[in-house]
Amino acid sequence: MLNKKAITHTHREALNRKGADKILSVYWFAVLFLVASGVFGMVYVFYKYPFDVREMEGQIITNRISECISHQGVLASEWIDNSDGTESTREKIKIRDKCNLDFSSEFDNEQYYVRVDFYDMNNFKIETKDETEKILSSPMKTIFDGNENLKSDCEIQTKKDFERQAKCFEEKFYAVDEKNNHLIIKITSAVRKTEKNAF
Amino acid sequence: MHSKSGQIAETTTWIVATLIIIVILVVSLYASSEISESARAVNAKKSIIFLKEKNADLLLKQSLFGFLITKNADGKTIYQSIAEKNALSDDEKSLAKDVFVNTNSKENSIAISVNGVQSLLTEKEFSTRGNKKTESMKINPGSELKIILQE
Repeated sequence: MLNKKAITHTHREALNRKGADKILSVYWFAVLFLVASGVFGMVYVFYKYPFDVREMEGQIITNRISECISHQGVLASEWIDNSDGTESTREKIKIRDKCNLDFSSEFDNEQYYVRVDFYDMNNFKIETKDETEKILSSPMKTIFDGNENLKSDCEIQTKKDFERQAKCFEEKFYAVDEKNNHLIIKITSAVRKTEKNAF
Repeated sequence: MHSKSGQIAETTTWIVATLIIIVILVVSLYASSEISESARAVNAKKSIIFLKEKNADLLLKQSLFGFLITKNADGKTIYQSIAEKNALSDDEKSLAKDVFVNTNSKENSIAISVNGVQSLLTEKEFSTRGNKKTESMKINPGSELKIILQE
């Protein structure tokens, strides 16, 4: 049999638990809000920036041009036919037509630039300074196509990448011409499309 | 008195739990921002773990074709020379060095291998870390030429 004091104590404890439950339910809402905002934040941070595919696009263009100008390691004579190797020549030709590339895009201005430099391997020299490579030799011939304004974007990004500039991709490979001359061919491709790819 | 100490214990538990939740959320936010940054720039080098064996280097293959079609001092192509001797001469190795070192970054380690006999073309040796690319060409049923490149 419980006395009066014991009953009062039990009653007070029950009331305390009720109060604690109320505070806990508020706390649970606060935790729920915290977790929900965290999940929202994570999704927002992950999908905030667009995927930048320009470098990959530049790489694909470079690969396509290399396949187009060199067939199984032999350079077709049409690419360097008017170069005697003594003087560096520069020529704008429709590489896009010769290599079946489509330079059209959803933008009004031209968004692509491609350049192919042909070097004689016997006179080919590279200097490496501050982790950047610089070709010291002059090319025998240079051919290019597309928006020439993007050329400067590639030149200023040799050390650091800038998001709002066109993305450039450079690769070199070796080929021989029909006279067994050893050539180093450097392909540079630039893709602008800044508005769609850079944040 | 008992009820008060019970409340203190309960409150402490929830404060600690809240702190743990906040820490987990902050770590997850930081991780998603880092992953997003690396996934945002799509290129072959960064996507190497996804591409795996599809990561063929077309330009390295082009250089390999060019090297094999080059005529040596005897007027034979290097392809024919390897097919006959099953090995590379010193002049051919020197040409291979000019070809593959000039067309790739100086930071790379490059080796040429004929039938498993490997010759290093660069001063930098291969390390246990770093992605290796291999382009190979079957010369005849008995011999194979490989170019191994490590970035």
